[in-house]
Amino acid sequence: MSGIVLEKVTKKYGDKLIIEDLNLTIESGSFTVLVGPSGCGKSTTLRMIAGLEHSTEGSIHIGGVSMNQVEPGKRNLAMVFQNYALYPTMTVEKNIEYGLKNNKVPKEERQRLITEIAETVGLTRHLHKKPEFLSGGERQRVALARAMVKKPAVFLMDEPLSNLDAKLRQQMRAELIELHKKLGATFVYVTHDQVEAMSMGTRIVLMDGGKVMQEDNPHNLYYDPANLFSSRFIGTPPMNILALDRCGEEIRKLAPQQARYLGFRPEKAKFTLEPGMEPDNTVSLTGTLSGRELLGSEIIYKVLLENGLIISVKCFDRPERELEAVRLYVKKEHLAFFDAQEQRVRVAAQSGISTAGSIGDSA
Amino acid sequence: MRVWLRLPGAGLRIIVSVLLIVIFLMPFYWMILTAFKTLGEVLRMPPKFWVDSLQWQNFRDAFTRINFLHYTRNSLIITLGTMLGQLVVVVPAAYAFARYQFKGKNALFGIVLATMMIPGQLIFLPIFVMFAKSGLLNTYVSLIVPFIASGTAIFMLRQTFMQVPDSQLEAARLDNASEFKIIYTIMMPAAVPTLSTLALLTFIGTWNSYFFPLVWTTTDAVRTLPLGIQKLQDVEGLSPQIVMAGNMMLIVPILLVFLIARKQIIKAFTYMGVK
Repeated sequence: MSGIVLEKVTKKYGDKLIIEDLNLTIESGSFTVLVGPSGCGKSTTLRMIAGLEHSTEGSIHIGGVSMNQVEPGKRNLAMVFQNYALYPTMTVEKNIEYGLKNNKVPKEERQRLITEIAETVGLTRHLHKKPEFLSGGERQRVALARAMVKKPAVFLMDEPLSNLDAKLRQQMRAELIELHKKLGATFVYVTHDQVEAMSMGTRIVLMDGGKVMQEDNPHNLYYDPANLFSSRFIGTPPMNILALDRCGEEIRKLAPQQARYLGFRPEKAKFTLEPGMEPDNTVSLTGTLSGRELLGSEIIYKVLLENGLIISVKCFDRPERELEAVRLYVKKEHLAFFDAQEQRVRVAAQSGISTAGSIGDSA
Repeated sequence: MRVWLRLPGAGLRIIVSVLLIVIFLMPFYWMILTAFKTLGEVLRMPPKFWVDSLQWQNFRDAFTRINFLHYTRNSLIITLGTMLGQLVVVVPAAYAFARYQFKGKNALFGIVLATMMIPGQLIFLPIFVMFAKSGLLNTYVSLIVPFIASGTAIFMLRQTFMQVPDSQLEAARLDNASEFKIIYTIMMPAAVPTLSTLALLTFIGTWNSYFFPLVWTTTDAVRTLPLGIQKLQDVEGLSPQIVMAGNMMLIVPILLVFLIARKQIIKAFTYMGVK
């Protein structure tokens, strides 16, 4: 119905290549998050879907219809901007009404829709105020209401939560997930925040330098990264990456031939052999604890390994450890290998980095 | 309240302020005073700074000695015509210069700015010849059209339009608004202070204009109120009190408009200053 397909899309500003040969399919009804560092092309991609930028080459289809010649206002989509982009000279009501009016919706119908939407997002009290008299959260709601009232098939959101404070952001995150479930529309959400991406998306498109690095669901993106970039971008702290030639014989023996790097998640390294861990299904590393960071439920240690590399270890044990020499154990199935091109090299008979030990298990 | 009164040097400041006010208000006071005097009082030496009885008939004389209504009508038509014409030309031009990328944009904008730097007195003659050749002499068109494409107005409005964030226009485009609608519902409401300032400047400039209506007309047909007032001097010899009464009637509309638009004008100038 309202799936979005980008085919061989390229975008250049002058000679500068922003997006190169992008092929992307966004399924109808999905909550797709475009995530990546600044300048990776995620906002440009969103703006091309909206029609605010023209692609230099390639085609964009929404619901099976080519959008290349379609004006932004006729694409049956709505966008929520980072700075909300409310019309400052209009009241909240007029802001919400603007798109309906331009689409020639009759007056009674408009009134009914506005009343309904104002109740849904809790703006009824504020309908006759101008945006400057609203708080950040309220403005965000107006922006959402303005988008929702048009009942579009596609919602585009360009970092809509980044101007809110942490608490409100968390609340709005939950509300957006609810909203997506309720409306069943296609959501395309741009953010640079991997936590937002992981917590909201049903599908995540990880971008860097104008290219898609990995496209997958949140679980696979975390537990089964396709390359070094993914493994480093997702996760706090990021995956520990060690150059294989600086590791011991025990580990090098395990690595596939073309592998150059070894990676494992910080929470997969243990200070003791826990239940299920045997000497023959784990590898061990030795080093010295060099730093400690308390984050409430978890503690993050910095470990200076014997080979001179520094890694992070996340653990939930109490009490905190003294900063002294330690031995670390990692199950073999939790190791991921990458080749010289930074692509994942899979060990035979290994599908993920142990999806068996799923999210809750690490606690 | 009045914090500055308590600051050091406040005394000096008050003296300077009062002095400035007197310098600015003195000519006005003298005009008003003269308008209410008799001819005898006007000519008296040393001059008197007050009148004992107000000579209201000076106004009636000013009104009847020339065809006051004829000149007022001409002034109104030319002033409103110029304002309307500017609205039609200046707003889209400023929007295009502020928001569109097109070939030759910078060169065109340079030409617009250049028009601000050429004094009209330098080019009034060729324009007069042009009007004469095309049969436009003594028409309203000849006194309206040359002032419609105002470089100052285009420049000022362009600056204001450029301050409207891109995302607001993009939001409007996604809301299926046409370009005309964007200008009308997004840009112009955002530029109300600038628009009212420009309207006032145009109003004062056109209403008071003396030079161009004088040199671009050969008959009284489309001449404006300032020229009519000038004529009061020639009719029936020396009568400064009646000229001053006419002048007072001339400036009343300007005062009225200024009082109405004062808030917006102050806003426009502080807005431009702060940014």
